[in-house]
Amino acid sequence: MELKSISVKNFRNIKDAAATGFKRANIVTGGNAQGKTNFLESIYYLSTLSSSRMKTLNDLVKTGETYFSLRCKVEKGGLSKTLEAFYGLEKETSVRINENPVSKKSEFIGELKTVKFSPEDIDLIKRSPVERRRNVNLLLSQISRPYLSDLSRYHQILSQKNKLLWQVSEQRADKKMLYVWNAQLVELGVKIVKARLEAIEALKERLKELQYKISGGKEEILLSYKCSFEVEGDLTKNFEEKIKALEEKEIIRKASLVGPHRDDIVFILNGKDAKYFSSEGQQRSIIINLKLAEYLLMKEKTGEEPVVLIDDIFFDLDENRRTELLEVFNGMAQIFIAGTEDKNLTKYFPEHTLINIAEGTVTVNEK
Amino acid sequence: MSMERYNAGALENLINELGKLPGIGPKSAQRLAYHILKSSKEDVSNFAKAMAEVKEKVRYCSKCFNITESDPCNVCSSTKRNKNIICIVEEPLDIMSLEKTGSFRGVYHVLMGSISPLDGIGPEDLKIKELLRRIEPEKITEVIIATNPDVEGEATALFLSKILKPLGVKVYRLALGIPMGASIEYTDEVTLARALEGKKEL
Ligand SMILES: [Zn+2]
Repeated sequence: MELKSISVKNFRNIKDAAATGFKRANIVTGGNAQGKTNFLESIYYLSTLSSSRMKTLNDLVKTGETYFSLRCKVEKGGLSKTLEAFYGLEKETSVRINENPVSKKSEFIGELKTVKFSPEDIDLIKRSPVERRRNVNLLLSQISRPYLSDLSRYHQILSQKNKLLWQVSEQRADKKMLYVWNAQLVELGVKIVKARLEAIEALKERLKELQYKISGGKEEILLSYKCSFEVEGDLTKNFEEKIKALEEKEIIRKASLVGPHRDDIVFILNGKDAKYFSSEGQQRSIIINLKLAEYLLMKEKTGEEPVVLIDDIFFDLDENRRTELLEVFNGMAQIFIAGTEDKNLTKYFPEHTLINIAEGTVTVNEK
Repeated sequence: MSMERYNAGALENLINELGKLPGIGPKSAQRLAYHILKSSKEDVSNFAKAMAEVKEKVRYCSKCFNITESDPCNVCSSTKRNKNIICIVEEPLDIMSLEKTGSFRGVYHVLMGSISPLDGIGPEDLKIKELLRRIEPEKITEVIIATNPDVEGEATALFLSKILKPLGVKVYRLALGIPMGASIEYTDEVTLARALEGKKEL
């Protein structure tokens, strides 16, 4: 998969930019806070229709403007597609593929597949479960269309059920009505959990291998899915029973306490929870490997090589690790790599396109 | 001065009223208002009459809650329909869509909505009591639940099947072939006809 060109309008600090002439390696340069990250994020948005962590979609609109719009050309297997996304401050969204409007997000996401290496993911292990669920959701949305539509339907059911729990606790509704939502919650929840278990299982092997290699055999990392119900045996039955067991508690708390929206992903390093027992350096290295594993999984599952976005993850890495990573990136189908004035980068990718960003203005130099 | 303001007010008033219609944004409301302004007096009064009449003459069927000018409605009073089979829909407009397929020969019952805690709608707010009152006297043997396939329609279908089954009626769900989350009103006739044939027992 290859990104051929992109135009960006009113996205973060980029007012109006068009860039074309991308190669396999594309080096994004420019000083601090000039818009390198924003440029990579615009590509990421066309891939996932999501903002990065801690930003709302409204935050993506350039200050003083009322919308942003993005357009890119993607080539895969000799076929070229035009992808367009529009977002307005009043939450209007529209997306098009080859000029045709697409009504469902799930039919757009994954048309451009990306894996992003960025400093904001570096402390994923330490953060709240929400962020780890978000990470796996973004991965699976790109791999499987039904996953995203199941997930959004699951969340609709969840908000209906939570409202009903509140009504029951206020004695405005009968708790006998809960089953009409629970039945649907279980049906979709099981699908979501199964997809996640399968993805985690596949990532686990790859991550373990990568981490073992990088640490010279000293670090064994185990990824595991912590489900809010028992995952051995019949998932549907287990999920149903757990809901039943927690019914009273759910009414008191006015919240749904079981299901994929309460699950987590745990990293075990040499037998201990890496959240509490690992150094910052180890965590950084685990996350970089996790992202490499995601790249491999996406490639294997879809037969398409994702476009890789790399945003300044090299600070603090020692020379060996850097060299090693750059070699891995060099073997990928297409990368966009941002770093502050790094001469090594141009040395590593002799044939590249240089994308310079200064105060939100984008210029391209082919080399 | 005050006269001028009054005139501007009438147009603004019309734009405002038109803008309340579903699917009409401020721009379309303006366009429609100017169109009405430019139309002949006769056209406009016919239009106004049609609107007033619809409210005066059209009401809900006392049996099935279909929209009708005669009570009971055409479907309920027809001698050619199988009165032992009821198809349950959310809105009267769904009946129109299903009737266009020509493949359903039973009668209908409109719920007037679907279960949705977020909108404060529970089973008691729908025409479910009225439905239950029909089952025995009308000797209903088969029920096809044709609520929308969105989460609210699905919840409503689950609720209905649970209360209908103990009454000894066969309960089917019309769901096959309709895209997830799509509404019956916007589903094409071929798909709906296929869905009617492929109804599944709940
Ligand atoms: Zn009727």
